[in-house]
Amino acid sequence: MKKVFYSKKVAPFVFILPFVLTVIIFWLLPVVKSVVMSFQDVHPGANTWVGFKNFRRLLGDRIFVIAVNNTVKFTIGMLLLLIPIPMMLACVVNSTIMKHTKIFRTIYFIPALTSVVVAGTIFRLILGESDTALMNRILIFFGHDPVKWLKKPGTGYFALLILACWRWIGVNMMYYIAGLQNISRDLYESAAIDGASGWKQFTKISVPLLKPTTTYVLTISINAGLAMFVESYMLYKGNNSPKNIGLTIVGYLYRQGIEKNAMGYASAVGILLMLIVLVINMIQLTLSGFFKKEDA
Amino acid sequence: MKNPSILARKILGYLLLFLIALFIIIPIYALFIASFKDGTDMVQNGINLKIVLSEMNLDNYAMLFSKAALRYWVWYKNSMILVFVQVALTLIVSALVAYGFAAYDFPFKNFFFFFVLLIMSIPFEIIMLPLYQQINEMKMADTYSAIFLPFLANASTIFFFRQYIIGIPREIIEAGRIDGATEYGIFFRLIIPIMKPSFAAMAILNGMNSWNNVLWPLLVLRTDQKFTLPIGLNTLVTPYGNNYDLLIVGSFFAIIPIVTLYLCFQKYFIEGMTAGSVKG
Amino acid sequence: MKRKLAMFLAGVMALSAVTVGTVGTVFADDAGDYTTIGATDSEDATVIEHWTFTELFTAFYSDMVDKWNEEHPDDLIKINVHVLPYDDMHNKLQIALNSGTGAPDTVDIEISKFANFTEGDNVQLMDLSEQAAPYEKDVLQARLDIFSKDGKLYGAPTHGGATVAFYNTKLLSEAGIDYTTIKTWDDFKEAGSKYYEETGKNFGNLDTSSNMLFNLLVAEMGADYLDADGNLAVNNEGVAKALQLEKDLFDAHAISIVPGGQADADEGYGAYNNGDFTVMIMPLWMSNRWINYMKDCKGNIAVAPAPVVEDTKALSVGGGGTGTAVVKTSPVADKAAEFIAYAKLSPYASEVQWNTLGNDPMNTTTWSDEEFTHNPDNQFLEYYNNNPFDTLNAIKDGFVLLNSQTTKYYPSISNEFNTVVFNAVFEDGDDIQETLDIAQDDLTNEFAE
Repeated sequence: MKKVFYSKKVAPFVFILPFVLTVIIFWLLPVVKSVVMSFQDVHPGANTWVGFKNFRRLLGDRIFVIAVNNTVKFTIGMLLLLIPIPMMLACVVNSTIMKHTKIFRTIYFIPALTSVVVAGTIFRLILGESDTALMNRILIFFGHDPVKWLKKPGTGYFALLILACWRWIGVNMMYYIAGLQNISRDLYESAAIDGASGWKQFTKISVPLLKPTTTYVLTISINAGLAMFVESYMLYKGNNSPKNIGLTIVGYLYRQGIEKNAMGYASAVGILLMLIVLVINMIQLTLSGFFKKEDA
Repeated sequence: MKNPSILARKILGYLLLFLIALFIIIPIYALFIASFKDGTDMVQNGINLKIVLSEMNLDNYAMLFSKAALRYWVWYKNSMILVFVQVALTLIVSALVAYGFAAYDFPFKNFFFFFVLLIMSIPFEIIMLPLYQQINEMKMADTYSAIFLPFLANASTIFFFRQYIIGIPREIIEAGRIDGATEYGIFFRLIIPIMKPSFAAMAILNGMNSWNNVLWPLLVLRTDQKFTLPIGLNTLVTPYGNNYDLLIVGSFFAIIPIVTLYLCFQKYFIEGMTAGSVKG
Repeated sequence: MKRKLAMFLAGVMALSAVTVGTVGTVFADDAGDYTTIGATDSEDATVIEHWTFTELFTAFYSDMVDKWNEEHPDDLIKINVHVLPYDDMHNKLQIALNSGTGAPDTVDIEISKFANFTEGDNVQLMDLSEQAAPYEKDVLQARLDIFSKDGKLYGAPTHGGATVAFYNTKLLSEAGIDYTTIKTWDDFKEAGSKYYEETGKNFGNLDTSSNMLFNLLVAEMGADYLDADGNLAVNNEGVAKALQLEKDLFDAHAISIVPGGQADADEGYGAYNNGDFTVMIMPLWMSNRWINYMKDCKGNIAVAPAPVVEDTKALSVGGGGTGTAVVKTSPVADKAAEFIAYAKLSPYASEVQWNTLGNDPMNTTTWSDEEFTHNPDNQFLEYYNNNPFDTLNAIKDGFVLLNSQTTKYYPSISNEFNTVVFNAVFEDGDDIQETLDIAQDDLTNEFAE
């Protein structure tokens, strides 16, 4: 027995055992359960099979369409802001001509260490309706009328995006800084000698060589965007926003499953979201040549 | 360096850094200012950066360190314990798993590793509800183990460690075997010491996630005495019985320890991130 | 490198140990798992596990359980009160009841969530009719009805929820307006327009995230969110008329959108406290908010019946509320039910509700008790410049509820109006009928079987 445990053939399985167990108990089982429930009406003690009813209902559900719309918009907004800006910041922070950049690196990372509960509270109060709240003060200073930030679709979207950016800029920047360490400084130096401008160095050296990092950041950002919920939950002090402008797919899943106790319907939402995530990830990973490298 | 273009780049660079820094700092600064003002007033009128010394005092801080804020410290303690346990266990388990994947060849290895990637791509929020039902059925509701067990073998941490271990020369492992060390002995005595910088990086990332985790603990926890800091702070913003003084000063104080921790750790964080980062 | 890391780890450990240690030892002894009230020293006392969502109620139950123990020395009770966050408590209760484990013995359920728990054939809450019988004739029937279904009483109400009008007499008299002349919504509209024109400030409250005022309008119109057969019909003519009336009042500046979306929220309190708003149509339980959050208005607020539409039978509709329920499967269900009926419905309970929480008493025997209604020590009576009980007695016979409020539809209807309908009509100026049609579609889809 002891011998088997210590053999080189068995050892790797011992190493990955905890992982396999956790995956089966805490991930695979719930996923299976979710799939099963998405074809059921779930009532205490009596689940009935209803075929594709939940999915059919979902397609005619105006609020679900709003949730999908919002989620896609948030995700795109996040990608447009949270990839180029952190990449540029990382290059600037990492640049040899800049001094004292450590302090900035530290500052940018603070929001990541701040609970979303705290962040949501601060932003809610900064974006308060009263003319004494910070954002409205700024508007008034520039001669604009105060705005009900969290009540209109445009400003509500802006608020959520700003909150997400505030939280994640520093983290994404760290990934890029880490990626930059693998690019030889000689490349920049010889480019500089050849007379390449700063912008040229950025676009011709940094951006292409950071592609693996970008792939990674893109993947986690898409996932985070599609799974967005707590930001909205905290900003709106709950899962309800005016005309559902802050409702996300996960928010809708939470509303149906927890607030309305419609587990079957909520599972259908979850399964649909999972399919969307998997498809997008497959496409994105294939396009970026990720699979080729893994197989090699 | 008298090159004008370099000077221009410097100015531009600093401008960008300062602008973003301002964007990051202002909300925290606003919270800091607000922590000296009356909480109810903040919530009624929104927060701003105005410093009015006559309206500012240390009452909130006095309250924070008095018995009135007892539960705040209970939450604080809970959060610290949970972060500590969760990070320690996650790191050990994930390192074991990563080593299994990186250092051995075994049947179905790619299949299992595909699992890692798959899990990385399923947002936790999707399995949250069925998992919650399951936790209830397993009589694990309202326990800390229910909070961290699902994250124990953390996919991205495994992925990261694997990258790191792949970078370690195989000769070290072979030398260990020749010296008669067991497979596990090699891992604990030879590999773990080499992995230290990556541990630091992952400790910060996991610690950050655990400290800030809201959604899952919110579902799992029931007793107020077991609440973690974010959950506890969240209870202060209900439609009934608000406590804004504690919310604001407590929110500000919640940032401090984790930032302090990060400041000490920062150097290793960057080193570790770099060593395990995705390579081109 | 190694040494530094070791030092660092040691530092982290020390830091956490110190924090946990000091905080833990200083406070640990004081921190129980919950608050125990009542016969805490008795070994034989019946123990009731109670869930609630506001600490305010702990003090109330503490008074009531002490009184009970005083009157029943052989039948002592102690209660472990667990205070949970609002949404969270209701969500967890739902799951506990469904799974059959982890539920408390008794629980305070907020009215907007109540119908979720009385839905279906297998209601997990206990019928309290028998225990409530001794008090029933004195308690406002509309309030009992709201927590009843199919003739069974599933929750004991907390207050009358009488919807009234609060007038800031100081601001009104400065503008030359006498609130006692306002009887109908037409009067109200006229006074409001005049006030707005003269002062530039807002008159009454329009809530976009609360339906307290709107329910009153619907009730006064004799309408409801359901059709005669009890089916969803939120786009019916009566509801549309009520919404049109609210829109007219809004257009005439007799009511304006309250900052934060409702009067009963922090930004709203601020607006009233600094005089940006003058009149508030809300339930009388706002008393407790007035004295705590709108201190500057002290002595200036008069309580009057809410305005009405011509020839209406409804003078007040129950707004808000909490039903205390007993879980059927609880091992102490019978004892708990007896206690809850006493603690919520007895005249003494009503008195404690008013004196400690400012909740309007629903046991109407108290309304004519001169000593109680004119209690000089009562902080709420001291706050108002007239006696709210005169108003309560004046509207006593016009207390109604909407039938939809007891159906499974109501939580969703309420949610749909508070998030979609009011915002669409008043913030975005959308068409009333179109908005109601969309709401009807949303709700129909939700309840599609």
